[in-house]
Amino acid sequence: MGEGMETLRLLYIAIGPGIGIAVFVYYSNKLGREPANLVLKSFFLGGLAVLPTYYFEGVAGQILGMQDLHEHSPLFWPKTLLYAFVGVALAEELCKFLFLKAFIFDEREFNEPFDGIIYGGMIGCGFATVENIMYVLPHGQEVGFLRMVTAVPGHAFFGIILGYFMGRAKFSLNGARHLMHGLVVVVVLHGIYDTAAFSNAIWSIYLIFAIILLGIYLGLKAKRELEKLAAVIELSAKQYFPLKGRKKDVPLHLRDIRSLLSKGKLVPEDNLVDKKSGKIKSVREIFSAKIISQYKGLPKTPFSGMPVKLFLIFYQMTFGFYLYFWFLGNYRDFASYKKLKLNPELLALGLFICTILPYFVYGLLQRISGFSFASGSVADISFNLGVAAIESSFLYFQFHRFSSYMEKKLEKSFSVPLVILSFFILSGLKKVLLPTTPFYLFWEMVLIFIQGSVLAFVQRDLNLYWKIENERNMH
Amino acid sequence: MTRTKIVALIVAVVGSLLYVHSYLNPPETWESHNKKGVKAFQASHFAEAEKHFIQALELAETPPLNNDRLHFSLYQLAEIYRIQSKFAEAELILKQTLEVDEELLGPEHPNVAFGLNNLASNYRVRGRYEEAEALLKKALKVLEDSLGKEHALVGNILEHYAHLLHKMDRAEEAEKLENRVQAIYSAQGMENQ
Repeated sequence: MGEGMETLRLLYIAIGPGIGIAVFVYYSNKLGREPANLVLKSFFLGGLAVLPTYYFEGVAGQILGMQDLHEHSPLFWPKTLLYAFVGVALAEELCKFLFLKAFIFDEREFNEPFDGIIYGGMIGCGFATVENIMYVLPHGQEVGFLRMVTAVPGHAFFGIILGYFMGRAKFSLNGARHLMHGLVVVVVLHGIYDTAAFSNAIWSIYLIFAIILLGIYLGLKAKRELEKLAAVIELSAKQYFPLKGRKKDVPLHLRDIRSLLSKGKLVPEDNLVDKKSGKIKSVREIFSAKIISQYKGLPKTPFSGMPVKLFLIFYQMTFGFYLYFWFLGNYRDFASYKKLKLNPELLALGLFICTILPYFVYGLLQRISGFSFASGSVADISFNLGVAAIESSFLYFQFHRFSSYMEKKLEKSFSVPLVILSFFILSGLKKVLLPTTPFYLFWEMVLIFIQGSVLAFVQRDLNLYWKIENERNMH
Repeated sequence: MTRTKIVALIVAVVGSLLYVHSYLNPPETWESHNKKGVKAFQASHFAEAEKHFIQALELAETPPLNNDRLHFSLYQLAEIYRIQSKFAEAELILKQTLEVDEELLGPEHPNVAFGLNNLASNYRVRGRYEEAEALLKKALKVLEDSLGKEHALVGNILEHYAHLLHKMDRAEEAEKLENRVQAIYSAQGMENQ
């Protein structure tokens, strides 16, 4: 392979996951889209934040002598902790925080708490993408694949957590406290992650994955909470009279207030009068987290599904990693709509753990026993097919459940056994494909594309189902 | 413009410029000097290699002290001086290497004997035979005490010593040593069989 092609291939591995998660974050707001220019601005600001922080990290590393630090030297742990928490975690998160606060926080389009999730997530994804390019181009695809499941989701979800607190801070009476909370939480998470990464101890990789999983869990939880708040703002029947302007006697819904914020006709400090109680409240108070309590009384939230083309792009850009988010999103939609008693985050986490953990256990067992199975051996193929079977089982239970809802509404819904069998075969092939195969990445991409296309049948039926349900609800 | 915005702008612009500057002009490290030195050495650009090895030594001498690096740099520099026939400069470096080894490993360590042997070679080339002999005797004692009289490395030092004695026109003594060397090597050969 030529040098130019090799660089392009590495560039694809480097930017794919960051952009994939960014697109997931962008489309996660089902009730409306943030302006693309502001979203792109956040993404690029995140990328820009890499440069000053890398300079600072270099200086901090030199001052602490990190390059020459030996793991048996007496100052190894104090210096590693200081470098991880202050030299790297604080520098990176503070820079993201500063850029978010300075260039996005006061924008008129940041007009409800949920927007913090979008812009925070974008800053995180931008940072992860540029940082990934700087790591993957010089160090190769192994680093790229490892970072795809560690640093990239880490930065993205730390960004979402930071954005959650930013969103809360903008629409709350004690914003400074929320901002401080946000910074402390992400610096602590990031600091523990970096300590594990720099310590090079045997247990590091487990701690790294634990922190990433915790970050993803907290990020999704934060997103879910503000999604509820966004649904309340969109659908609440509560009305307020403005205290200024010409149309003082026209009551406003919460979504009208949001719209006026984005037009600059209202600012978060403006006061309005509650139509029912007559109490005067600022927009900050009205949009504060207290209104989440109204969520239960809301009409069923409409779902828009996802364009099949978009699904295929996500799936391809993230090397199939988008499956976890898709799996989560589907469960969430149905759990919310059908009031199902299940925990989507826990199920998605279960899928993630059950398909990633076996590889570590497998590697560990080989290390302990001193016996290694060659790629392509019967044991290796059996192991990979086993993981593919676990992955397919999770999907089987989800699709089986959904198809029972869909078959009542759709004339002909997708065949669960056929989709699962195809998925299993493709997943198995993808896993057993030897990296030494000529044009390995090309074949990997082809398999991912076909796998995505199989799942696209499910997405197509989901879209039809949500369309029918939305029409029914409207009538 | 708010204060936060001004701070963020300064961080973005100044930080990015500093990063780009440091990226384009990366600070020289011990490794980078060694790498460049070896490259110049392989291209027979000895003067340039010497310059890099001197700079590597300077970095190795700055705290926090890394003895492996210091030893490696001293050895590299002594070698490049030897190749360029800069024996006076090489002598200083070899003496420094010896001091470092004696301090780190103790005067009875075999590595100290090799240091003494290297310095003796330097003196021999420069015709300072008496000084060279004294050093070789000392090296021999250290090696014999630490590794035993029949060790192959003892034979190696004896060989050098015999070579020196020939230079000093003491052929009879040299022959005796050569016989001993032969005996040691034969014994080693028997053992190996």
